[in-house]
Formats: sequence, C-alpha cells, structure tokens
Amino acid sequence: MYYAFRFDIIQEYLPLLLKGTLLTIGISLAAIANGLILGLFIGFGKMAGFWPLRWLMSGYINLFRGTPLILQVLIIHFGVIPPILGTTNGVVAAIVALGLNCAAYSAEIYRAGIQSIDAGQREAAYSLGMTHAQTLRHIIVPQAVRRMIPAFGNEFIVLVKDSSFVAWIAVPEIMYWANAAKSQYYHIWEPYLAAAVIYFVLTYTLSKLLQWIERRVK
Amino acid sequence: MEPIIRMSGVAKSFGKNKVLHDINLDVAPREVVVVIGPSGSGKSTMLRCINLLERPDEGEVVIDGHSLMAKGTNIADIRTEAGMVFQRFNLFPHMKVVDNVTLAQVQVRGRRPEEAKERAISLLRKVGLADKADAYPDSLSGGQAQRVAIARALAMDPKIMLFDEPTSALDPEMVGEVLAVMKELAAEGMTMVVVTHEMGFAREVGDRILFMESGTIVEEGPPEQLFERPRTERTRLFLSKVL
Repeated sequence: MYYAFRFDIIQEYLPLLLKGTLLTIGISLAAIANGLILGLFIGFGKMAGFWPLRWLMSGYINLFRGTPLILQVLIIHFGVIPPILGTTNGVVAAIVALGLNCAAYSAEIYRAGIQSIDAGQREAAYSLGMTHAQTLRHIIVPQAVRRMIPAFGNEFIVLVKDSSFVAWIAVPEIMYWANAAKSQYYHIWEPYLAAAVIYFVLTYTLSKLLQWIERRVK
Repeated sequence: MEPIIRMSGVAKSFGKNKVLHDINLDVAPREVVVVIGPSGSGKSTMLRCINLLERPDEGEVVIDGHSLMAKGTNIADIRTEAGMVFQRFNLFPHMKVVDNVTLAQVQVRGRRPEEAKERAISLLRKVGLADKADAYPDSLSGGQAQRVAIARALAMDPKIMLFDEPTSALDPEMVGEVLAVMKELAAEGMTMVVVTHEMGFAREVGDRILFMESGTIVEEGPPEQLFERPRTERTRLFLSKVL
C-alpha cells in the first residue's frame, strides 16, 4: 500500500493558498497593531492606583486568557459585529477577536516588563529630581522594552498560528483554502502539508526578524 | 544657624511594623552627621524620609525652609537639592557613564547638553573616573560604580548629600576609594547625612554621630564622646560588638 501524493491538488489550489496567505498576514498585522495599542492601556490600567480601573483591567485579561480563542471568534462574529455593522463581516470579526485577545496577553507583557525593572532605578531617578513621567520615559521604558521583545515575539508567533481559527467563520485565509481542497478531493496530506509549510515560513521569518530586532536594541 | 534639614516628630510604619518613632533631628549647613546602629533599626528609613522616598506617617520634614509635607510643595524640586547615594549604586545600565551623570542635569536643571557634559566630565575627573566616561555601568567594579553614582548626584549641585550604606555592597578592597571621595566632599563643606557601618569613617569624618535602635535615636553626640564615653547601655553594647 502506498499513498499517491497528488501534487496537482496543491498546484490547483496554490493561487488561492497564496491569496489566503496575504489575508493571514494582513489580519495578523492588523490584530497585532490593535493588540499592542489596546494592551498598552490595559497594562497601565492594571498598574493604576485607582482600584476600580485595576479591577476592570484584571477582569478583561482574565476573561480573554481564560476562554478559548475559537469561542471568542464565534461570539464576536455572530454576536458582536452584526448589531454594530448591520451584517456579519468575517475579516472585521477576525481582526477584532484576535486583536482583543492579543491585547490581553500584551497587557501582561507590558506590565511584567515595567515591573521587572528594579525599584532602585526609579528611586535613583526620583532622587535626582526627575518627575514620574521623565523617569518612565528615560529610565524605565527603555530598559523594559528590551525585556519585552522576546515575550512579544512569542505572542506574535502564537497569533499568526491562531489566526487559522478564523477559517471557522469562512474568512478565506490559508486554513480556509486548505479545508476547501481537502473537502473537494478527500485528500488530507496535500492541502494540510502545503498549509503547514506556509505557516512555518511565516512564523520562522517572523522569529528571525524579532531576533534581529533584539540584537539591534542590545 | 538655621538648620538645613529639620525633622520633627517623624513616625513611619510599614503595615503593623512601626519602624520610626518620633524622630527629631536638626542638621546644620556644612555639618556631617553619621548614623550608626544595628540592621533594622530604621536608619535607612529615616534617611529616605529626608527626600521623601518614604513618606512619613506623622511629623514634619523641612529642607532649607521648605516643608516637604505641606500640600503644594513640589517634591521633585526639593529632591533636586538632596543628592542620594544608594547601597546598590542604582546606575542606569542602559546609558554610558557620562550619560548617567548628564541626564538629570539636562532634564531637571535644564542645562544645555554641552554644558552638562562638561560638568559631568569634570566631576568624573574629580572621582578619578574620567577615562570611564564612555563605558557602560556593568563594566565597572563596585567601587567605580559607586564613585560614578556620587558624581551623578553631585552634578545636580545639591545642597545636601544623603548616603545610604554606600560601602556595604562593596568588596573590602574597594571601600577605601569610595570613603576617600566622601572625605573630600566633607572637607569641601558639603552637608552630609551618612548611614554606615564604617566606624573608622564615622569617627574621623563625622561632626556628630547618631546611634539608632528600634526606630529611635538612642543617643547622639560628637564622635569622641559617643565612641569613648557612650551614655547609654544600649550604645555601649552595640559598640562593643562592632569595634
């Protein structure tokens, strides 16, 4: 018994898989941008002195970390986006869901990065007469960012892979077309191996890029 | 003479643990006050109340006529006048030595960068480290790092200098170089409050010694009196252990 590997299936679906790749990249970038910005506010909110804000931000983080991403995608796609836009929109739902999820993890990366800086650094800056804002800008953030980069690298790689969940809401990205090919030909290996190679190339490139950035800021 | 530092009735607790009880202390301009006492006696906390790194629960701290506790006091302004040197140096590791000494001059004093750099280099020369200006802090020995930290504090032209166990984290062979810089500073007339375990330094440089225990100033006086003829049994007991 041997498996007849049908390259023609991959060949036929390749243009669609590549279009799907562009969509995966676009959705991931948009979600990362949203997650980084929103996460910054959530992370600082969680460090605020005002307890209701702290409590609210902790709640957000726990909610998004404590429930499956696929569930978040489905709820946002079918429950949240239609009342706002008047119709479903898979790409918007994908960006929102992945962005909100990324924000929860990013918030913790910001918080951990900032809080990892020794209290003595802040005290030294204060003792020189620097204000809270000057201390953050010149002393804490430059040191914290260096420590955040590897953690953000992990988070971005996870996000690119997890963007495959949005095939469930018929967003025509990589996983969607791989599923389509499998359903048409009842062949598992060709479409899924092709998808695996594409995801691997994306995440490997991303991890090399982040390594390069990490070296640059040292 | 008007004291440049006045603490009256200062008390401070961390949770249920009361670390300072009713501290009263006047420091005159150009005076060198050395604070000794066992670990956990509140020495560092008292020092940190002077520039409000710790906020007293009760009492009043007045620096050069400005109340630190009054509403509307700009704490950053007052901290600028009180340089502090820490046990663990707390240099900024992401900046070159010269930038460590320059940053606050530009940000806080509003000096031009060239002017600040000139001042930084001259202070580094004073502490014997002009050749390390372009090094990063993690390439320095402990003694060198602490001398840079002193230069960094002096760059703000503070009216007083606070030293929080400046030699306690140093290898023994490096203690001398840091104490030498501090002695020079005292000789120039800097007002200093020094928390230390270096009894030789206390005796030689201190104008006045405070002995603290359990959050109170147990005894104070000129070094020859406090070291030779301590008035309380607690001081005698402490000195018998450390001398």
